[in-house]
Amino acid sequence: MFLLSPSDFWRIRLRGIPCQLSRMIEISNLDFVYPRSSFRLNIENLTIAKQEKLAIIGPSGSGKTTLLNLLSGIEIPRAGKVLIDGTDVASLKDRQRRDFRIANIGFVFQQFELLDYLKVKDNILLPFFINASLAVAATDRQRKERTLALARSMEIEDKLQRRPTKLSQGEKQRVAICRALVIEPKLILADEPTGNLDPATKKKTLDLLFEQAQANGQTLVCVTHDMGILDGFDRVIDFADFQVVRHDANEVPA
Amino acid sequence: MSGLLRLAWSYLLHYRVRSLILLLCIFLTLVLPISLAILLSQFSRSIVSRASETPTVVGARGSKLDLALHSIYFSEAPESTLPYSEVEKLQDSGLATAIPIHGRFTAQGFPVVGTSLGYFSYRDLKIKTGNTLGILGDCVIGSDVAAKLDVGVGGYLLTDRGNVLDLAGEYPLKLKIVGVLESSATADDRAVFVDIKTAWVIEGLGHGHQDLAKAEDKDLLLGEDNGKLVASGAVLPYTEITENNLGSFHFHGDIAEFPVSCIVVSAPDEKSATILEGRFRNTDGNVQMIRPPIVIEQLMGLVFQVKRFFDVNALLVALATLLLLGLVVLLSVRLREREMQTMFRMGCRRGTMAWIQVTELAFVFAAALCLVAVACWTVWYFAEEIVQRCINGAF
Repeated sequence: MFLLSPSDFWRIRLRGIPCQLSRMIEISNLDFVYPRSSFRLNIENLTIAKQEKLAIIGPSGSGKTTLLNLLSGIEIPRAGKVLIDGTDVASLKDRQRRDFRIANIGFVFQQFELLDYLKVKDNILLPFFINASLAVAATDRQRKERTLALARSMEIEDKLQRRPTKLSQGEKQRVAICRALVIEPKLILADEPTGNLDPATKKKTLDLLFEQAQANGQTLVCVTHDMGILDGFDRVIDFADFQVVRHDANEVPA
Repeated sequence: MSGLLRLAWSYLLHYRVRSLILLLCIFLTLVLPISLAILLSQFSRSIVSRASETPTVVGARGSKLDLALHSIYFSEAPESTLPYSEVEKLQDSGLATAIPIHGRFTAQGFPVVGTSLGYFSYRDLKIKTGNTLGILGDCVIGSDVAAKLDVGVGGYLLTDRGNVLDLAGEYPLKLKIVGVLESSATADDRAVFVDIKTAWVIEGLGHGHQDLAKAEDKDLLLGEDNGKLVASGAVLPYTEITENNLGSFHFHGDIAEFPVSCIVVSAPDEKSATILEGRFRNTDGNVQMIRPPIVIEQLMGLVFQVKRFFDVNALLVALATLLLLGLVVLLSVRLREREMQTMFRMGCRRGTMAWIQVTELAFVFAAALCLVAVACWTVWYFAEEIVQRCINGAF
């Protein structure tokens, strides 16, 4: 069982993001349990500012990925509130929640989760294929231009016609980042984005992700085991001892 | 193309071998029973219609089915033959017109049918080009023969040797094409018609050779027997009948004893046919009269009984294929669970994910059905020819 006690979050609040900043995520009195499991996640209060780059570290089973699932509305808390840009995700109906997710949240996975049967270009455009309302919101031309711009910024412009199986690990993750960013989400949730990358590729990929998030004013919440990548984040929360291990206030936009 | 269609299409294209196998399974499951039904229906139509145009046939005792098929499709002749005297007897009865058929030979693969001119009017066969049979050695060919062999009036056909080891047997005879029939979409299109006497010449019962009385080469003669010259083996028969050698052609033996493979009986009314049938039933001889429509009806009864087994078999195969398809879909769902999970996390509805798989299957089914339609149309288009070839033993 994992429990964040009020005192832990008192510390977090003390050393965390000042409350007056514009908030992207607000969690209050969250209580979550998996059915038929002893695992429990309690978060009394957690606020993440807009455009903040937050890293969550901690041992396996400490609830990092569960938190991402709660933020994205894949899991619903038993009690408490999760507000994403002012929207209480848990209060939405199933369909609304999915629409909210696909319109506002970009996912980056550890295993990239690219579809081998689609070309890189189509993998990036996948969110538009699986959600009709997104497809309506942007014209074909706009989508293509956005894809091209992202691919250019991620330096995979020449790989657009290839299959993911022909790419290196780093290239695959950059494609996955493009896919997360193509819908211009407000929030990017990254689950171990560098877990499968070598050190050099890791840095480059993260730099590109930060660059994009910064340029587009997006909030980034990243779950990681990798202590070597924490430098670029504005704040790091360790789920092992419930400490904010680093906070660079200067990096947080006012 | 909508997103879902695009995803489904991309998946099928990427895993094209898998998709192709699935498509082939559906295609074969459907195309075989449907094609069989088309062919059987055509076979039934074709054979019943032809049989009904040949109400009564006389032949040697033996298989009624062989006799019926030979009389209407010129299939392989029955082992036993009838003497030509039976034709004369039928003619003399005054109850029917007897049309002899002697069909033991082939010319370049097509059956050579020795008959009388009455056959053409009986079958209502029209000459498209040229004339009808005139003299010994003439032939009139069906439209398919003309097309397949690319021959016409003025051309020649060589009969096939029945047995290359039988030196005293049939020699190939060069037939002169004097007419080509209009297409009738029957077995007549695939036959070479000659006069019955020409058929006997092919069989070796009649022949022509040089005049031995005027022969200078003494080796051609063995001697004399009661005032008749006896030729040696060095005398070769003519293999072509021309105006110059026509006079030398003659038959050895009594024509009344010469063979015919069957006789098509054209009775003016049912009463005459029934009287004739009664007469043939009461004889103990080697002759029988059959009614091809009844024989064919019995055959079709048997064929459709067998088809019912095929239908049940096809149904079971279809069921097995459906179950296999179900299994493939279930395995595919399991294999793609991760992909589906990713899509779900991104915000895709589970219903949409199911739709993607349904669309993939629909694509495969649609492609298989298109192929089935094309294949069945092709079978339907060529059904008549296929059936004719099957009946004529061309396959």
